[in-house]
Amino acid sequence: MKKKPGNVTFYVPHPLHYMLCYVTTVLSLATAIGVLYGIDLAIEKLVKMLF
Amino acid sequence: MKKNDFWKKIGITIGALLFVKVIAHVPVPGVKADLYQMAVTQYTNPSFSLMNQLSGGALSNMTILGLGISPYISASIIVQLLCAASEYLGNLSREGYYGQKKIEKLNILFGIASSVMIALIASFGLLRLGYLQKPSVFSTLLVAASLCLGAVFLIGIGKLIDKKGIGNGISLILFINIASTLPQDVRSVMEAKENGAVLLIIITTIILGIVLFMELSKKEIRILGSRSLQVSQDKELSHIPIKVAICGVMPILFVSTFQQIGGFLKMLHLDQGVLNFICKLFSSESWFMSKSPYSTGGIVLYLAMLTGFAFLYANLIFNPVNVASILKGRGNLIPNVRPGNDTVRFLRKERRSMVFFDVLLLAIISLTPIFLANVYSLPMLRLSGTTIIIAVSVVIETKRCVWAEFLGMRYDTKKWFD
Repeated sequence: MKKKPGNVTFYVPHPLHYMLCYVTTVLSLATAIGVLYGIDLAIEKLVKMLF
Repeated sequence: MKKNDFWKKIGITIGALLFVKVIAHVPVPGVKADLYQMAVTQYTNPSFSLMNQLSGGALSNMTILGLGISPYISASIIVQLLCAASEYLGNLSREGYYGQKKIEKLNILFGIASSVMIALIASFGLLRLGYLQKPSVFSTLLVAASLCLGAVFLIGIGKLIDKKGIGNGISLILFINIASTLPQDVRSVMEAKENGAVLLIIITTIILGIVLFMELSKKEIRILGSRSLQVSQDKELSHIPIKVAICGVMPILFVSTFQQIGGFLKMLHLDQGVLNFICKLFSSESWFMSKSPYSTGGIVLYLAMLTGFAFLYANLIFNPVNVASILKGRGNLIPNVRPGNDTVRFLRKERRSMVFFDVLLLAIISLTPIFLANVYSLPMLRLSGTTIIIAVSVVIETKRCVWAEFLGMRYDTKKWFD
């Protein structure tokens, strides 16, 4: 989606593109946080078990 | 790029980050861990919390990665400022691959030097406060060496990912540190207040939306090639893109580095005299509180630093003089603008408006959670702006890198002659 004709054009993403990016970013963030939390818990348990 | 190379890069990145997570559990030798952790849990300074969050909770547990990647980030900021101030370094940064390699070496050297300095201050602070098991010079130096080694290890891992993995190593380490502390922070916000979860979801949704808008939107300046002057103007038009997030997360990181230093000095009881005044100004606890004498001063200082650094950094990212000379050299021009000084002036004006827009959005993102946190007494909300903008930017950047590598792999493996 392009606005403001002339030498300079301000480009804003298409709403669908924006929504898609929003959803994928939220999913990526949630997955990363979940996986890292799981890894942290697993390492903590392992450390407690070993020492 | 071969198919195996892509998976090898993914494997190296994940392996290196996993290794960081394991090493983050190794405690610093010679510290009274229980006593220290008890003291830290009662200490609720926002600057210290930010530093702890950027280190992935390693600072509050006093593990060898306690300093996190912050010394390297502050060092690279100092080097960038030096590039703007010194002509020699400025020229070096514009010398392409060779210059960038030298600047990178300088970043690493400064990073190690600042790690040594911060580690020494921290260890002597711990000695002074009685957190060392054996209060001697040797054990103090041992603590300093462990913290310093941890910081150097993180720099090394970051560079390994840069070279042999996918994405920006330093950003990825920062991201895994932030991401691993987020679940605990969310839990503490929910426990602190009944409507804490709702407020957190609303803030996160809005901030995420603004950050994505900044990352995806851009200004395009049309340019005409020398060939396209002879044909219809509609046919051949190229453009110079300027992102809304022209400076990315750098201005926020820069200001938060100063805030962290304040929190660090306060934790070690080194905030005396003028330092005490500066620490109080930087502490976001008092901002938006009408009774606090530091409220307005702190916000003004924060905004001034954010704006100042954004302009300085934007000049390094997008230098109108360089862009104008490149355009002139290639026989390109901006329609209705004369090559040379007029083009420089035009580009400077366009860049200025983008930086102002960027700073405005960054200020909204970082100050709104602080305002809500202080009004609704939810201390953990204070950090959400800074951390979300860092996390989202890293996710978007990494997604782009993975996609680019993936396309590279498919391009190479495609059978063109079947």
